[in-house]
Amino acid sequence: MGADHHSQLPVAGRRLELPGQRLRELAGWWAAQHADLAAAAHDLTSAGRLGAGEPAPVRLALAEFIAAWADALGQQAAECADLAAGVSATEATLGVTDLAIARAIGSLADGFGHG
Amino acid sequence: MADSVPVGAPSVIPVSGPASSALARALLVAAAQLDDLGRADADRSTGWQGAAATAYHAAAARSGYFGREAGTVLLRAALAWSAYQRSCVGIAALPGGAAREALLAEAGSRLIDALAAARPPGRAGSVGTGLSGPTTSGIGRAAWARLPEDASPDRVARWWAGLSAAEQAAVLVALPGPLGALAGLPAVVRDQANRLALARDLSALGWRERESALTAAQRRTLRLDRRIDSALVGDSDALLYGYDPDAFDTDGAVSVFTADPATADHVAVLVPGFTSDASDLPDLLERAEWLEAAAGSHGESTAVLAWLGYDAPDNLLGDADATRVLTASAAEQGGGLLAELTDGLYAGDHPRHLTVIGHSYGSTTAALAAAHQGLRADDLVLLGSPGAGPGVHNVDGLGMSGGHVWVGANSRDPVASLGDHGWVGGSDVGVGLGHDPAEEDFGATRFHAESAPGADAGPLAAHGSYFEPSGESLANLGAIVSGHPEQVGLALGKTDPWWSGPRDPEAHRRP
Repeated sequence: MGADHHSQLPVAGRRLELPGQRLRELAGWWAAQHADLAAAAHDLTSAGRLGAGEPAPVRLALAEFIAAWADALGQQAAECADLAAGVSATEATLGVTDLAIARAIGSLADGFGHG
Repeated sequence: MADSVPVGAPSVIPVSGPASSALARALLVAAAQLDDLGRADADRSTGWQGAAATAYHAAAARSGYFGREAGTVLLRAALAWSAYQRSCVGIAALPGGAAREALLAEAGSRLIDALAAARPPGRAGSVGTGLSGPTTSGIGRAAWARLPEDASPDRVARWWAGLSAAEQAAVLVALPGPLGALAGLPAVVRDQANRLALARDLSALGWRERESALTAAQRRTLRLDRRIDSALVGDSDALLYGYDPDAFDTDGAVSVFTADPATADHVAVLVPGFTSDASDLPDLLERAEWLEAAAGSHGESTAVLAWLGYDAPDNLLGDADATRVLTASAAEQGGGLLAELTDGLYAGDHPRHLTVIGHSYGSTTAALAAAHQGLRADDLVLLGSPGAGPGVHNVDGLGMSGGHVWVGANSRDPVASLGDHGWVGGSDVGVGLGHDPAEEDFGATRFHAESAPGADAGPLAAHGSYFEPSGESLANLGAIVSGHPEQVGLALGKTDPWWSGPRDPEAHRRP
């Protein structure tokens, strides 16, 4: 696969038309989102621990709030990582089968890409 | 709910400090990251078709939706936390008693309610629909659009003051880079914006490093970012006033205040000389802290800005930039930036007493800013100066009021001897960069600036001696910056009699 290979492969009557280079950039963008959100979740958790000097009700509310958000950010970070991997797989497997790729990504988006 | 929330021990008054600042910053950084994610379904994959593309677009749209929703909600939480912090600071100043406890309970209840309402949005919601209101990006960019292009610092200050708290926070999250560079904003706002921009750059470049995908320029930027980050760690008072890692062909530009200039009694700006660039922040910041301590010994507070915000020549001799040192072009350009800086400071932080201190080539930069760019400052100090710039023959050419132009010139500093000395130089194009401001004829007030006893007596050491913690120069700088001219140790100026070379009365004095 050349660096700027432009895939126009007939797959099930359709064609993939995104150049390999752009797919790589897309994968990079999602991987960066993954890293940023994972870091944000980590920083939020660390900063929340410093709030031990707050009054008890505030401390409790903060702890719940931060746990919920750290979890949500972590989940979204994981989804970004999956998307990056899915797009990377797309770039790496251009010419194999569009549907296999669709399944790889489709597991992330309910109801889409399963056939 | 508000009335039923009990509050903990009466003595616990949470006030602004490292912990609360760290949480505020973490909330804002997370909101900014989510705001970025909110553009996930922007048009990055035009032309991609097929089942994989369909699956991708659906997943990207869902992530984008989550980013926009979650970023907006998290920003509200950040605002609530900031409001709580402010309330607690005010409450802490009240006398103890039932009234104070009630106010504290009320502030805590408001925060708890706000946090409860700021739960993460569901992840199974319909894609691309159902936004409950304007997003952070939308609010921030709309507010930004109300700022005229090329607005003056005063206009910027009015624009910022006219925004609601929610709009201010949204601009901060959506456009931290441009906001952090805006002359006329308070230093605390620029600090928040620049720290956000720095945190995001560190995160993005850190990822590229782990993926072995850094370009040479990005590697330099990451090194610089880490240096800046390290310099700020552990100093809770420091404010990141300027941050632009791409400036000046990626030499970078950065400036850090040792304290908030809006609340300090005195403010000083340090302008460094040749070879300085953004990577020198730790050294310049150390000098700024020494100066802050020296000025503080007079009993009032001082905020000092370590300013690495102009493109100083890279070397005195021996490289491609060497010729630039002996001309004033970089100083002229830097002078313009310096004048803009002080205009921005006056508009955003209203310093009551501002001193600009230029060292080495930075003294030429500062002098030219005063001579040609309308530099606003109460006092101007030229240290180890190679000259006050072409065409500036005396203090009258600097446009400063009498007695407010100061000169520190160590008699063993070779750079301070480069300037023209009347009979010897006799023209604007001498060995250095214009007239020696330490000469008596120049009309500035010279102060004692010899090296401390036992200090390295080498010429380079003398040029770098002006901020030595134990030296007379730093003590005199502290007196000037803190508005105590009567405590400055005065020195006689150099002379240049027609029958001999320049004479320096300080050469024979020992501190």
